[in-house]
Amino acid sequence: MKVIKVGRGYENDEVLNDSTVSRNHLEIFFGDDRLVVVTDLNSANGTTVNGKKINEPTKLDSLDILKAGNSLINWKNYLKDNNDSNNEISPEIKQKDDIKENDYNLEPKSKNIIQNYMKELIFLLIISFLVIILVFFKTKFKEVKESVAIIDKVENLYTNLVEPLISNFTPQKKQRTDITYDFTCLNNNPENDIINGLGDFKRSTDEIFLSDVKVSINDEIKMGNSLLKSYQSEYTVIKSGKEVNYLSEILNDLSIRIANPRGFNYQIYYVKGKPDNIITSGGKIFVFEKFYKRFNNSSEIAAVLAHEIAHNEIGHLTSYVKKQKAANEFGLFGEIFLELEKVLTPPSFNQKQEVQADLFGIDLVQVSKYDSCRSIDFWQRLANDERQYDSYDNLMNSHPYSSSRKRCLKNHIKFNYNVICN
Amino acid sequence: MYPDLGSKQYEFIKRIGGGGFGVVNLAIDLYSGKPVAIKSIHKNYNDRNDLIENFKREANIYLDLSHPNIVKLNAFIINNGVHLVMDYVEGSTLEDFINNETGPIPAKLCLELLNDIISAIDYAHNKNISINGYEHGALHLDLKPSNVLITRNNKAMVIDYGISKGSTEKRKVFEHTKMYCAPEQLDPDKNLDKRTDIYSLGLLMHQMLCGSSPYSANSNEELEDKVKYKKTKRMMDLYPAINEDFQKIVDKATQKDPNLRYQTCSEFLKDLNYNNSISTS
Repeated sequence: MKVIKVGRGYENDEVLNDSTVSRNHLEIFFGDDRLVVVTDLNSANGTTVNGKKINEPTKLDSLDILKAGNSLINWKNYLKDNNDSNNEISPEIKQKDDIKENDYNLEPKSKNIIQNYMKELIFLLIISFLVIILVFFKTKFKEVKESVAIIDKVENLYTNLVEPLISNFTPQKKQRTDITYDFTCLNNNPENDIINGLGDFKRSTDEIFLSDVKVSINDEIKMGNSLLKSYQSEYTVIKSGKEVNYLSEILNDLSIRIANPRGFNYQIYYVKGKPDNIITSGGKIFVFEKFYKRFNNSSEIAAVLAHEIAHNEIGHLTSYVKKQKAANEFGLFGEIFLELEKVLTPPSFNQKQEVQADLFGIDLVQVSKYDSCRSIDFWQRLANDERQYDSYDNLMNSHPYSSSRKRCLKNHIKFNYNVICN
Repeated sequence: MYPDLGSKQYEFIKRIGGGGFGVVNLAIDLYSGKPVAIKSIHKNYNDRNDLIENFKREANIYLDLSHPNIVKLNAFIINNGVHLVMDYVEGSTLEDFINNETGPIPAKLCLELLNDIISAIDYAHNKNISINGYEHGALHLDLKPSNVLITRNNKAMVIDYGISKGSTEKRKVFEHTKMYCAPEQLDPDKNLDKRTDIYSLGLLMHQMLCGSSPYSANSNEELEDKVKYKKTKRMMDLYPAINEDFQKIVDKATQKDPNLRYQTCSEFLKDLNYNNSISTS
């Protein structure tokens, strides 16, 4: 009878160096009558038997395949005879068992050993230190070589695929800076022209009024923090787990491609609550559960996250932060002004900013491993889900008509990257 | 149209193979970012317990086989059928490699590939696998050009332990490709052992060196007759540039009587690499 603990932490019997495995992930109970039972220790990514997630202690049959996070566990190795030469894990277990059995005389023995072999021990320590340094440099070198090989492989594969390719390894390319943003795609009807004209006018007058107010990136980060606090009090905000890992992985892949980063530390928060939305402030990106469920593939996620990054990098939130700061200086009067300003400014004045964020986002996605054309599918679907816009809706909505948006995206991708999206 | 794995972890890209009881699709593992090949039982056979058991056993074999020339398991999923998630090997099958890229494979490359393949089979023959009957190794029993993959760096990978047998396991009835089987595989009363795989490896070597299959036959009966009693086609007739010593090795590996063949893969490899110096000089 024995219990084997598996996890990322070194205290486990089987230590797995895999980020999808929790520190203490699972334990396997081996009974005397060949009864084997696995229990998940509340791990983040779960334990599966034959691909099915287990929620309670589960009996393992002889051919069942056990997985912790994304790592396979060859649990039958622990059933094998300890003398078996092919067995890589059992000898360790045997040693551990021996130690347990001889527990009572272990301590005095080990003290003697240390005293008698002090010199040898120090010598050994120095040698192993040197070996570690050597191994470190060697693996560094190997890592570089390996990642280059995998990049080649992935790029080869890419040419054969119609669908977006997702892989851990892509060239560390930055977004291009020689791009011209063309907004003529928005001017398809008179009312849009008026809306965008008024939006531009509003922004330029804001600029004049607020030119004396100085805000730093820290002010924006502070605003992000206060938004986080208000969400934490209202909804369930999740900072780890499967969804967060997945979103963060994509986010990291995009944020390293920003050509001239302003210095935000981009972070994902997965929010369970009523709203069906994605909101950003000060580098924090809040993805609501309902909105997350709209995504069909990683490239769509990339498109939306890149759009949110763009709002931060272009500084769309800066003017709001400025207003808030200015309002704070005027006390209560300022707060009333801020509320009035919110009511009096239709969200549609920001349509141009939304498209600007779309296009900036495309520039990030285009140099990543994700497929920029998928963004069109997503915005299209989002628009279809919401009710049909009429002019009034358009005036009240910050997200532009889907047809204009689609045209803007297609044109941008076609003219700047020579890629035609279907 | 793609199988339902009951999780969002895999994004299917395209179908890359199939036939018989299963289909193979290329997918991306969204957790690791790696491309994977997912072999799924055909949905018509979802309730065939014997086939499901076979898939399970195959998964367990891969779990214990850790060799650079044997494809690796990523996951095993039972959900609307069974699914083996394997590392995706970018390249082509040995069959396509010969037909589309090389024709007869140059001797030096051929030897490198054979070393890969035979050492993989040798490893599996001697590996203690924790399945009843497999404690003294696994026999492949379906070695043929379409079950070997050649990577872009010209490395050979053995796939498909789908109809394998444990060394000490009782013989099962399976359909296999007659062109590449050993004579004892056609006789249900005879025992199969390591030497059965060695026979098929000999046929594989023949096809790699001269670019065409070891026998030609117009009917199933004629083919069975050739497998049981006739020598393979002479390689020199097909492709005159072949070193005579290679024919000797193929002949020894493909003796009809298992006792006259190489008895182990390492014997086979030794002979092959002894000739290496002659053939490539």
